[in-house]
Parts: sequence; structure tokens; C-alpha cells
Amino acid sequence: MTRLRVGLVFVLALVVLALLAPLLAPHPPHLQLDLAALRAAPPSAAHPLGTDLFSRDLLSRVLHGARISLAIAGLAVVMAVLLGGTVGILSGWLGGAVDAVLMRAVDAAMAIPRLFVVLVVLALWEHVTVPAMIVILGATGWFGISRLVRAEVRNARARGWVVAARAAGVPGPRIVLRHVLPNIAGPVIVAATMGIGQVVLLEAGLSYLGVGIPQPAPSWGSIIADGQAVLRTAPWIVASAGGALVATVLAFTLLGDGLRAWLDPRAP
Amino acid sequence: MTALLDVRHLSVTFTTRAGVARAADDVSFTVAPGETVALVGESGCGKTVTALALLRLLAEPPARVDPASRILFDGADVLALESAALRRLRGGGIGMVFQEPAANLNPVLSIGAHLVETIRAHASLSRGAARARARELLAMVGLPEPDRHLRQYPHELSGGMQQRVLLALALAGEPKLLVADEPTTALDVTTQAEILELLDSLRRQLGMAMLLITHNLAIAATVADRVAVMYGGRIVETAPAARLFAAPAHPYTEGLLRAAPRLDGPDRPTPAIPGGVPPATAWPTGCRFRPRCARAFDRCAEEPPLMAAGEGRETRCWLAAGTPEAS
Amino acid sequence: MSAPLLLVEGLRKAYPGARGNVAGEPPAAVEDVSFVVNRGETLALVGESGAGKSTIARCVVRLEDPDAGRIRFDGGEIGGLRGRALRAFRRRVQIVFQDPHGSLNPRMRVGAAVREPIEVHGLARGAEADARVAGLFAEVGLDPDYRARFPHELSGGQRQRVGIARALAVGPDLLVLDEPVSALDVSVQAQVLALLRDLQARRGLTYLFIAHDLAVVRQMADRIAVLYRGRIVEEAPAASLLVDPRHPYTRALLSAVPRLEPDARQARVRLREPGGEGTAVTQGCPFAPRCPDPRRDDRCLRELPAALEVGPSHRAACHFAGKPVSGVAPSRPDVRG
Repeated sequence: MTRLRVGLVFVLALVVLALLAPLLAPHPPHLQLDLAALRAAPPSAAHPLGTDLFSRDLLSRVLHGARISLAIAGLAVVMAVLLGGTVGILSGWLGGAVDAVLMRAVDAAMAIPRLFVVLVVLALWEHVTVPAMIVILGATGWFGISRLVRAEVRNARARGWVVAARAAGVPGPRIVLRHVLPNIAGPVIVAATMGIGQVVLLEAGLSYLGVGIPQPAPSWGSIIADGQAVLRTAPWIVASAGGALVATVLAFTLLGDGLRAWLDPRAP
Repeated sequence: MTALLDVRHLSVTFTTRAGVARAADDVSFTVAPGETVALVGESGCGKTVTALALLRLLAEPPARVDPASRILFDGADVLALESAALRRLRGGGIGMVFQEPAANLNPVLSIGAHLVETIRAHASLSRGAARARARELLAMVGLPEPDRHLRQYPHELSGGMQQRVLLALALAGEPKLLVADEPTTALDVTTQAEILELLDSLRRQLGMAMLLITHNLAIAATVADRVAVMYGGRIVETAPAARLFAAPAHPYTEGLLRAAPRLDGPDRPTPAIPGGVPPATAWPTGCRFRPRCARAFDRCAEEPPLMAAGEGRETRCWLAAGTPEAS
Repeated sequence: MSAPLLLVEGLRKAYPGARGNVAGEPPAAVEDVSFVVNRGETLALVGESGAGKSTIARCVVRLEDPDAGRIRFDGGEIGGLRGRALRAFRRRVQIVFQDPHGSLNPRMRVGAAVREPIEVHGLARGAEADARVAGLFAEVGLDPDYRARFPHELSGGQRQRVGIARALAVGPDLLVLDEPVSALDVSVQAQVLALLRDLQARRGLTYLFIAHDLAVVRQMADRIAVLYRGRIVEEAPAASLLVDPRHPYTRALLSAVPRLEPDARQARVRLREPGGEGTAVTQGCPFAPRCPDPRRDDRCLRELPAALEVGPSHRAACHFAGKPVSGVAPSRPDVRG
């Protein structure tokens, strides 16, 4: 229970921070404050996380970066769940040829490393926007979920009340909606929650490599990339964004794990 | 003759979200050496909890065994044993068999591996000697091809055969008491009959006592020397088997007998016990069976203690105290 | 004599390559099963695990399709039914399952579960549907207030009543009852069986009652068919079967049931290969490997016995069915009321 509570509080705090970033950030993230005096300045009262190489306030950048990361990760996962869920339901419920075709396609897609595909697409993309990133990550991230949903739907299909509904003449779509989905929501939610953490990390990695959301957008990955050159002299640059990254992934992982534990004993 | 197993005032409670559940309440009974006692009752009566408590198999928390409870086996208080002695008791003094055979066998271990492990836990034998003993045990429980079965895995055996293996495991430590918790409920009728006969013959062959827990009255009637009926976490009647079924002293026992489907006797049993069992967190005050009893009267508002009801018989019912209503 | 309500002929279904899952063994195959159920009567299908009872139940309600054979309900073949015709069929044939816990959606209130078939078949909507559900609850002996409860808030017996109410919601003629009381306590069993008898009388229902417990079946059945490994080995009116069983398996089954009355106990008929599996046979009588009958011979191992008429409506698939085993008298018919 504590994992769940800690994770939940953590995640909620992150979401709130991200949503309110424009209000909370002491300075606009792009503003170069004082190129002479504040260049790569260490943390101080005025700048709790310090400033970066362009004398931009790191706290503001990290806060705005949270908006980017969480928005991209959240929406990409929603897209993945919708895509994967649909495929999984069709495959699991209809079985037979439909299942065979869909699952072989998923197998083939999963055989290609996700990072590779994403890199290739991004490299060819002219100007990467947030919506574009969401679509790319969502479209490459639904395969695992489709397998999970398929397995859950297949199990659910054999459960007593689903058999009873079929015997009573309830039409397929209605059975899926009322008898299957509510009972498989748990594992899917857990997978989605963990998935958000993974996508945050992935997006940060892409920004770090320079193929993600372009500068001057304060994506955590870009901040880390910037700070890498001066890691010895100004470690707070990497530490600020890196710390935020770790905290975020940890929060979602805790939440996902807590949800998994909480849902387990209640499973019928 | 001193009892082999002497359970005194055993109480087990569980803390649940809905409150404290009194699963077993002041349960006392004995089993003499070589005797078969049946603990009979429906779901929620506390019989399984009692059985698990005998070998301290209950997870505490959420269970809690009341400190006033005493479980004396062969003179020693089980609840006070330290871990090495407890380990020797489990399987060595008291053997246990449970309801779902498949659930109690490790699917990745062969039957031989199960047996050798248990045998060597109770006797220092070499692997070869242990294997030979395993073969003996399998033959003793009536398995037709012991050598073949030693190499097999649990899923390759039928339910009845799995239960025989579990019996072999329970007997491996040469226990003086075998506790069998619904050992045949999950099995076919013909297999059930075979297993019950096997239990009976083994008992006589090994001079073992047996505590059989079941909800099936007919099984208790066929196999047991004495029967204890449980309801609401309490023992409500004990008697020698034949007399209990011929003339029950407690209205609950009577109701069960009238409601049980039978191949002999009336073909339209009367559903003589209305309503259902209340939750263990909220037993009724006074006699726990009172809300469902057709013969309840004012004194029943006070919970009856176990009282004598004939020779070797006890019942927890005021009707046995000689009131005008007793017929 | 009017035509039977349900006619099953030559039913065959196998599950090649099926393995058991963690929960148990694979579904049992069924071979050349034929029986009828007349309007208003109760036919019991009795057998142990592997007999194929559930397979038959599922085929009768079109949850599965047989490999071969015909099933006719009220004169019409059910095998080819699709769409609207299949729906209409489902209004008339319903099933009650064994596990009252598993057959109800844990996230759905029980009132809604009983309501669903009514709405799905377009029998009533809104307030009228609600009223029907309340009526059904009362009919099965449940407080209509329970409609708002979830399955885990009810006892096993109450859940099974909900299952019965759900099956009755569409007003069926035939009810298939797949081990409806096996998972219930004795006192609750008696209540539910009494309810089922009561409903049958009031609604003129026909029952196909599947069970492994002969003592339970005795209370409910007009006729009994005994299954062994996917085949019917004996079929007779209940009284005849229990008093004068003609198939060795039936006799073994009867003798294996523990009796309360010491006088009623017989010497148990011991099957051959005790502790063994009961190997499947490819020819001859499927029961031959385990058959305890002293007359068992070569013919039993080679030739599949045909169903012999041994009495009025009494058939047994044994080469020796026509001759009662000497020295083994039929059990005394019970004299007590």
C-alpha cells in the first residue's frame, strides 16, 4: 500500500508541477538572463538549480521540460493503449485467422528494435514537433500492449460469466464492453503506467542524441546533452535535468508497481 | 488411556477489514491412539482452521491463536514447541493431507524427488535407501507401478493418483496421527471410495490415529469411530459415530441429516435448515444456531456450554438439559 | 405421445491436441451419444470426470458445435442456426452453471446481470425490465433489495439463485443444469434443489440435469443416463436404475457412494486397476479394462457392446446386461417414505 501511496503522491506532484510550470517558473525558460555574470552559475538563492551555458534559469527549464516529457509520454502511451488494445481485443476475441494474421504482424514489428525505427524516422523528419513525437512514439509502442490485451481477453473469454453471457445470447461487442474490458483494465493500467516511465526515458534519450524536440525547447535530454561538456566544472546542469528524469521514472515505476500489488488480491 | 491429541480451548481469530472474525472459538476435543475422529461441518464452521492450527500452519498475522489455547500431542504442547521440534512434528508425529492434490505438488519436481526429500527430512538415509523406501510407500498407497511413478511428474497422474502420492508423503515420516482435510472432495466417487478404504486399511496396518475433516456426513458415518460436529466456530456435538447418526442430539446435526441427499432413506430430503451461515465477524449472541433453529426457546438467548447427552456424548444445546421441549 | 423436446442423436465431439490447463484436465470427448428429453421431465446425465457431461451440455446450448450427430430442439435442428434464429433458440434453452462464483461478473451488480438477457432479447426495457427482475428475484427466493449487490456480497447459495434467475429471465422451456449444486454446502443444496423442483412444477420446465452425485440426482431425476468416457452405458427411469442396475459401471458407482445407514451399506464393487488411470481403449467396451464383472471375457475387449433393452425404457450397453449377475441381488427398494 505504501508503494502505491508514495507513487501516487509523487506522480500527482509531478503532474501538478508540469501543469503549473508557466506559473511556477521564476523566469521564462528561453530567457538568457545575463550572459556575462550568470553563465553556468552554480545553484544559489536566486537560481535554486543554477543556470546553464546560456545563462538560462535551470529551474524554469526543468519545469517546462516536465511539461514536454509528461505530455509526450502520457499521450504516446494513450495512443499505444488504444492501438494495442484494439488489436489485442480483435485478436483475442475473434481468434482464428484474424488472430494469426494480427499476431504474426506484431511479431514482425517487434523483431525490429524500436530505437532503430524511431531514429530513422526522426532523422528523416524535417521539424520534429511535440505532436509528431507523440505519434511516432505511440505508433512504435503498442505491440507489447496488444499481446498483453490479447492474453487477457483470451483468459476472460473462458471465465464463467463470459461463457454465461454467450449462452444467454448477448452479442459479442456488448460482452467485450461490459464483461471483458472492466475485468482486464487492471493489468493494462499497470502496463500503461510503467510504460509512461519508459517513454519519458526514451524521449529524453532522443533529445540527448539531438533528434528529439529541437532546441531551444527545454527537453530534459537536451539539457543533459548541453551540460555534458561541462560536467566537471558545472555538474549542476546535468544533475538538474538528470535528477528530474530519475525522479519521474521512479515515480511512475512506483505507481505502476503499487497498482499491480493493489489490484492483485482483488482479482476475482 | 491418555489421548494422543488433546485440543483444549483452541481459539483462532482473524483480523479482517470487516472486523475480527472468530473462526474457531474455544474448541476442545481429543483423539485417542488408533482412533478415527471425524470433524464435520459446512463451510465457515472453523474445521479447516482448526486442522491448520494443529501444526501451526496458520499465518499469524492475519490469524491469531489465542494464548489460552493448548494443543497437546503425545504430551507436548505444540503451540510452545521451538522450531526444530516443530519441524520434526510436522510429518513425523502428525502427517497432513489436503483437499486439492494438484495444488500441493510442485509441478517441476518428479514424484520421486518429492518423496526422497520428505523421507530424508525425517530419517538420515542415503539417497538409494530413501528411494527404496519411496518405492515401498508408493506400493503401500496402492499405486500399481511404483518405479514408473517415481520418475513421473505430477501432471502425468490423475487426481486420485496424486492424492495417493500425497498420502505417501504424509506417511513418509511414520506419523502417529494423520490429519486429512477433505481428502476426497475433489475426487470422483469411485476414486473416493478407494481412497477411503485405503485410509482405513493403512490406519489399521500402521496403528495410526486419524482426524478426518469433511462436510460429507456419509463419509464420516462410514469411516469414523467418533464424530464432532462444528457450527459457528464451535463444537456443537460429539458422539460415537453410529449413535450420532442414529439419534442426533443437536438440532443442527438433525437438520443436516434431514437435508443431506441420500441413496438410502427418503428421496425428497426436506430443506430443514432455513437461512444461511452468518459471517464469522458477527456470530449471533446466545446460541449461535438459534436464528435458524426450529426448536429454539427463551433459554437459547444464553449460549449453552457443552453438556453431557448420554454416554460418551456431549451437545451444546439446552434441550439436553432436560426441558419440557426435549422429546 | 408427443415429440420429445430435446433429441440428441449420435453426438460426437473430440478435442484433439487439447492439453489440460493449470485448472484441470482437458474437456472430455464424447462418442455416439443419443438420448431424448420429454417435455416436463428431468433427465439426469451422471458420470465422473472424463465422462463428457459438460461437453454434452455445451453442445446442447450451442456453446460448441459437435463433430458429428444431430441435436433437435422442439423438432428443429439447432446445428445450422445463425443470427436471429439462434437468438430465438437461446430464449428457449438456457443453462445454469456449476460455479456460482465464476459465472457472475464480479464487477456487475447481480440485478444488472439478471436484467441483461431481458434487454438483449428485447423483452422489456427500463422500468418494466426492472419490475421483471424484481419478480424473478422473488421467485427464486431472494430479497429484491439484493439486486444492488455485487456477487462477492452474496453467499454461494444466493449466487446460485441469481444464476437461476438469470437463466429464467428469458422464459426458457428447457434448462440445462450443469452440476448446479456441487459447489454448495449440504443445507444449501437442499434449499436450491427444492427451489428447482418448485420452479419446474410452476413453470412447466424441462430439465437436463448434469451431476456426478447419484444421491442428488435421485431427488431430481425422472430418468437417468450414466456416462462413462464419453458413452452412455446405461439409461433408465430413476427408480429402475437405482434398484436394478444392469451395467457393471452403474453398479460400481452405486456401491461407491458412502451410506449413512449401516444397513444400507453394501460390499463395494471394486474396479480393476485400482489406483490406475483407466486406459482409453480403441476397440471393445470402453469400461472393459476396469470392469469388475466376473463374466468379463475376450468379447468385451474386442466388441463394443450395443445398447440392450433390459426393461421398459431401460437400456444398458453391456454384453451381459440381459442377465442379472447371479448372487448379486438388486438393492432392496427403500421402504421408508
